[in-house]
Amino acid sequence: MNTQGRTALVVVDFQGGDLSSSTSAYATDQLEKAKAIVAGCRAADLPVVWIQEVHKPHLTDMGRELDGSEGQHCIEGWADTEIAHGLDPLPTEHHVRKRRYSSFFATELDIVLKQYAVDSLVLIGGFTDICILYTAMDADQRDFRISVVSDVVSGSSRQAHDDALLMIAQLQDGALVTSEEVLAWLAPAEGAVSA
Amino acid sequence: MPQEFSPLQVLDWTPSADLTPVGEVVLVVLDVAPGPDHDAQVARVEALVAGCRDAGVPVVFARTMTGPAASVPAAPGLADRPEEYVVRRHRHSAFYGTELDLVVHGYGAQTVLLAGGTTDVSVHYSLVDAHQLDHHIRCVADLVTGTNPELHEAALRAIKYLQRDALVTTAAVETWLAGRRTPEEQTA
Repeated sequence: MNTQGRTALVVVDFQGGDLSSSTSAYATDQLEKAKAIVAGCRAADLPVVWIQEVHKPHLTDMGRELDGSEGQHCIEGWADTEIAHGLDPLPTEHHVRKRRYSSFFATELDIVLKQYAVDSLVLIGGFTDICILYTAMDADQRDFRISVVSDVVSGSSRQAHDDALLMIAQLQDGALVTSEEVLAWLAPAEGAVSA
Repeated sequence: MPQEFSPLQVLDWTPSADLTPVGEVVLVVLDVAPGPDHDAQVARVEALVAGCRDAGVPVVFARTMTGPAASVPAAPGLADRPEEYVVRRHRHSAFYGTELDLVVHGYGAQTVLLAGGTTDVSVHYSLVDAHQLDHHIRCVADLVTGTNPELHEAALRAIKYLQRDALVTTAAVETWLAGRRTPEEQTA
């Protein structure tokens, strides 16, 4: 794990509401892995911060997001704008709404992370090549250590997903981790710690 | 897992021969990154800067900081003039921790045209900030240099994903500059 000091889990745009539909960006096993990582962080008393991209139906806050590949997305009131069912933020956890790709852009995330005094972030969610990459980039610019869980992120396409993993690896050595590594780090096996 | 054939996938990232700017344009010049063609690349960026100055297009230089020291201009034509702005970039994005957005707004520009820099780092991450700040972005695709060819192509795809008109050639900028009225004609 690419961590130092205290670590927080940031769940970025793990949205889509009911993920059982075939159009979901996330595979079924990714939701299960995400649930396990969230539960593991809570059990280890690590802060969990939820990020949700949301735009008003009148699109005032859409910026330039319709000038590229994406159409309208994450509109308030749409069922698939909701955080994935089964991932249930607790009332005690921060739930940050954002209008842009980076979770740090025009949000309170930096303030929240300072309050938690964390130095390192574990990132899961999507898209790998958009909100994960640009959140990782901004976290790197703010001097956080980043661990992106490569099997619990989903891209806008296979190629863009692969491109983004290369770029994230360029940001920090060791920035790519697996869910298996995260779970082992959260709950070391009996004996491993006392050895 | 990501779909193998996604409608969102960028399949063609050939730069356009047409600049299609929106509103006024500011040229942001990053340090030309190391590469096999470095000296020639510096000369091409120098020529672009000269062309923009002649046409009255504002030029802003983003110098890379190493501790308290700023990078030095790679050629005489890349030195800033007294009336031009220089931002001091400590991080990947030329907008992060700098006055660049304020300067773009000050010039009344809606389009950020970018040349020089590392395609997959300073270029990509400056342009995504410009995009998130609601600017129209244009990247002179033949005047940016990747860490390696694979990352160069990957970053061009990512930039095209952000804005479909973002990738242009040097010739596109030259054609647009040639068609612009000179500063004298604009005030006449």
